[in-house]
Amino acid sequence: MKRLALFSILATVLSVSMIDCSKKGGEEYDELYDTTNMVGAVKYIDTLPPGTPLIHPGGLNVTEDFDRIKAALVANNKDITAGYNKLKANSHADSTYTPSPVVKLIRGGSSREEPEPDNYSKAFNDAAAAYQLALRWKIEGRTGYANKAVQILNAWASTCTQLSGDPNVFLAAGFYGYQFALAGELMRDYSGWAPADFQAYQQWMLKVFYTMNHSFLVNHNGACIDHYWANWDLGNIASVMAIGILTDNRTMYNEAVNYFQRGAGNGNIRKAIYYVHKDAGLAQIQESGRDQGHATLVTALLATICEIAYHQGDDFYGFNDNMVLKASEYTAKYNVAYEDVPFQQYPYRDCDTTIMQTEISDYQRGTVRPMYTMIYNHYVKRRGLKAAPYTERGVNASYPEGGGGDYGPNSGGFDQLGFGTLLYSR
Amino acid sequence: MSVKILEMKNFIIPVAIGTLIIGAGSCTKNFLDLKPLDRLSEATYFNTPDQFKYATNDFYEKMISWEPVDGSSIYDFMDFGSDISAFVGDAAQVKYGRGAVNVPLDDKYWVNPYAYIRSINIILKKADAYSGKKEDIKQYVAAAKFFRAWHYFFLLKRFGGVPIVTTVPDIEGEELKAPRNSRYEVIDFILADLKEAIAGLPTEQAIPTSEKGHVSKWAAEAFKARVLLYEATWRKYTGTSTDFKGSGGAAADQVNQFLTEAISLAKDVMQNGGYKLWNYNSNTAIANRSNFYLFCIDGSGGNPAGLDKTTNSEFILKSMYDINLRPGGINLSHTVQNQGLPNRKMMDMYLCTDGLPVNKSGLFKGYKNVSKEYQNRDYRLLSYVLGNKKAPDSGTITLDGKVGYTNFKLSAYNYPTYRTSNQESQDYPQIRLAEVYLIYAEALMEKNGFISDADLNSSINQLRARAGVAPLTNALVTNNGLNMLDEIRRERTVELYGECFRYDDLKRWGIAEHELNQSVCGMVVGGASYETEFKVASKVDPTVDSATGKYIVRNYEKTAGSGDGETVVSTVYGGLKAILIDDAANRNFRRQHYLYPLPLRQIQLNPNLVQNNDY
Repeated sequence: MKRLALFSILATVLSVSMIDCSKKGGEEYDELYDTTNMVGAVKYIDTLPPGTPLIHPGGLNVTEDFDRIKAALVANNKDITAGYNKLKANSHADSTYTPSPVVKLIRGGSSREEPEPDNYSKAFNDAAAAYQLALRWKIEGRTGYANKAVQILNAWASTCTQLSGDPNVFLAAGFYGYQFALAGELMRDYSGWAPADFQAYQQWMLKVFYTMNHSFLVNHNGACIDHYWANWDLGNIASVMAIGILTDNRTMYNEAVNYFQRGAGNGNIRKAIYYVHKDAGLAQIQESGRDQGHATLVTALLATICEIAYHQGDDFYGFNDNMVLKASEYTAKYNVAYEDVPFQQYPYRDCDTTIMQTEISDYQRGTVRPMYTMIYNHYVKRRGLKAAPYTERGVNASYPEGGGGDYGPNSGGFDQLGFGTLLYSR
Repeated sequence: MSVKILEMKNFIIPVAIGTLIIGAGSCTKNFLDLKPLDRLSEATYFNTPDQFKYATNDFYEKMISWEPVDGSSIYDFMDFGSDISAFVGDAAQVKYGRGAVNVPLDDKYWVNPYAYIRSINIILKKADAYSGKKEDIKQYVAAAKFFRAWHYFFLLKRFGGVPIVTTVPDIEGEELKAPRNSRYEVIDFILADLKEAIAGLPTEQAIPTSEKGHVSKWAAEAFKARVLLYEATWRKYTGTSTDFKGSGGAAADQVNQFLTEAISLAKDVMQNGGYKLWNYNSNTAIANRSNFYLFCIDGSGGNPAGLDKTTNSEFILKSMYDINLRPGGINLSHTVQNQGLPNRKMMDMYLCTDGLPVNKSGLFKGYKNVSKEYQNRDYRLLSYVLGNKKAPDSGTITLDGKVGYTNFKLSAYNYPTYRTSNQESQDYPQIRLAEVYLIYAEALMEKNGFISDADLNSSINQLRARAGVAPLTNALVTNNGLNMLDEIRRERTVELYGECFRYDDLKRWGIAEHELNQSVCGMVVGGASYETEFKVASKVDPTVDSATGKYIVRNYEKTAGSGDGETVVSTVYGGLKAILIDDAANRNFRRQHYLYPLPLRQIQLNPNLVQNNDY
């Protein structure tokens, strides 16, 4: 235990200091956590030296994806057409969409920290709209969509000056940070986005979002390291990664990569995926014993981070013998197939108290998020690695996947950008 | 009849007593023998008839109903996951229906009834010692016996034979090491208690308005008829196959005797109880949906006709709820709307208005579009599946992973506007007149192998009349190649849908493993040879099925393109493709599952308890 604590502190320090390191890693045995869930030695992912340019566009969806999608639509590919129709039917993907930027973006309002009420639904709706319009522009090439996307992004950058709220503000920083950054990344090569506006947008993301993301990953709002559940870290990791790409900042991108594999908090991939049930080919999520709304959220965020990093040449999908696939299989087996899954008891160390979770939570079992198609197509189609029977059932059950606005009006339906059938079918 | 909850303030008294019983500290023996002076205690209570009344009032809320009591959940008893349910999600009953039963360490449905039985035994002991006029407490003693029988029947249905405890054991009581009694002994014990309950309880007519909700003689008779039919048919069809190892057998063949008494008790309730089916079909606001609104009566807004609980004289024994005094306290409407869904088998079980099943009736319109199967059908199909809504129009349903059918039975009307979640406050029907009719007809048929048209008319044809279905007659059966017993069982299945009877019925008829292990199916989707809104003949090759835009095939498949989301169901049009909700391969209900396993901790505490077979 002492060693664990010591290492936690060390890891926290490292997660900050290591951003300057380059080409670190290679094959090492893990010393950080319980090794019972390890599958052989963990191969860490190397980072490139500061100043190494990022690949653009390099978010969730890259040029190769849009080439594939456009060709498939021409060929009247059934799945991609179904996915595309789902996008077109979404009210956010409409060139008459009206953004509603706010000066102070509040999540965790009506609280001691922020007396004013929440208004974060404006952010998640507008981020979803910008992303969906950007997709339509990339696929259809019509500037009406591009102009609207840019209008939304510019409106936010020129209006919103701060995030506010109780600790929940860090969820807003993470989720809407990565979403706004990815929408911006899709639009960066649009000739109609004035360079000054694009730069202002980059500065807005850095100032308003990245500072919060960085603060959270370093300090965790002053809480003990395991207080915040995995999804808090993961949203902020995704945001740092996406803003790093948007602003072409390798150091920032490396910060996310390093934290994801070596960070002290629950967003470390091997803490977020708490336990690999080796014989079953399944992996338990840190939040599996909490509720399935959050367990599925963690799965969606893991996939999002993996997909972004993959486009920069970093294969977190393959990390620790494809542990993300096992996490997806676990989540889908329980939530889609409604079959039993093994459960390794989880001690949730909430600072002064430890709560021992001894069984998977059936609360919100069956939560649907558009996430399985991204995971399935990476492993089975892009990598040709192996079958993923439960993830495949998730793909089928959610076919065709929608995005923000298709899964209810509340934030959960917007936590992930979605449209997997359109974007990732291969 | 006024809506009055049984003097709820008095419920605390038994709780206080219970606390005292448990709350013995580590003091001297003399101190323990002192009577507390500042509060009610068992030692100073039970001196007046009212005190017996208040104590027995507590028993009413121990019957399982909407509100969870000591961890109970009504959802553990509804028909979810049974052979007539389309719900295969997360519910204990779904696992049960698949035969996925593990031996638990604890089972609240063992511990709770025994705790309640202990409370009852305390009162019966106090009644024996009561120095006043026994006549003054007769009604409450009878009620106590009724509830003791109620809980033993609950235990019998779940576990089979269980130890009979009639005393109030202390921590070293011999009773705690007692072996299980046989089911035959338990049944005899239940029937004896009910005999005394019937003798001591007032008729409904004699219960004053201010006391409504208390158990009547008729309720005890109806309940006894339920027990008798249950046990008679269990012995006839399931027999001794579930008796635990070492269990004694029946002293005599009581099947005929049980059926005979069930018939006469049911008849007495039908003729003398004064109960009446709640039939407001002719009220234009109810519009033939009495079978929906009956279960949402709750103040004057529980239906569009403003009919409140005073209009309901169908419920013979009910758990009483009230929006202010005792709201339901569970997410009832949402749950039954999502989990109470009917499957293919249930949808086809409802008769056409001519009294004939869908495979025999010329009135049946088939499955070609989604509005068809609602036409010319039993009002109960419309009432349960649609609530107050109209049948779906052609083209309005897209099969995108959902069942395509709905359920509104037991939901609040106008949810969530008039009653939102946890606020639903309709009474829970523990026993209603419809069941008594069903008992009467089934017991007659089981006993005689025959039932007269007159007896059908005085019983289940009342239910069919309310449901807009032609009467069941011997001529109808003969002329159409039906089976009378099957039709009586169908009537029961339809009428009592969702009311916690299905699993028990399947088991007492000895057909649970056969019925539960079939594939569970949903909407008929047809194909090239039977075109529907969901599948048609391919334009390229007319012999090939082609899904329409109303059917996302993959949403039902395990492997895309494999066709494993469908199976063939037998219909009057031949075998047709239908959505496969749960494959027979997933279902493994066996004879052992007719009874639940005894919880391990009870066997650890009392090694003389023999586990049920094959657990």
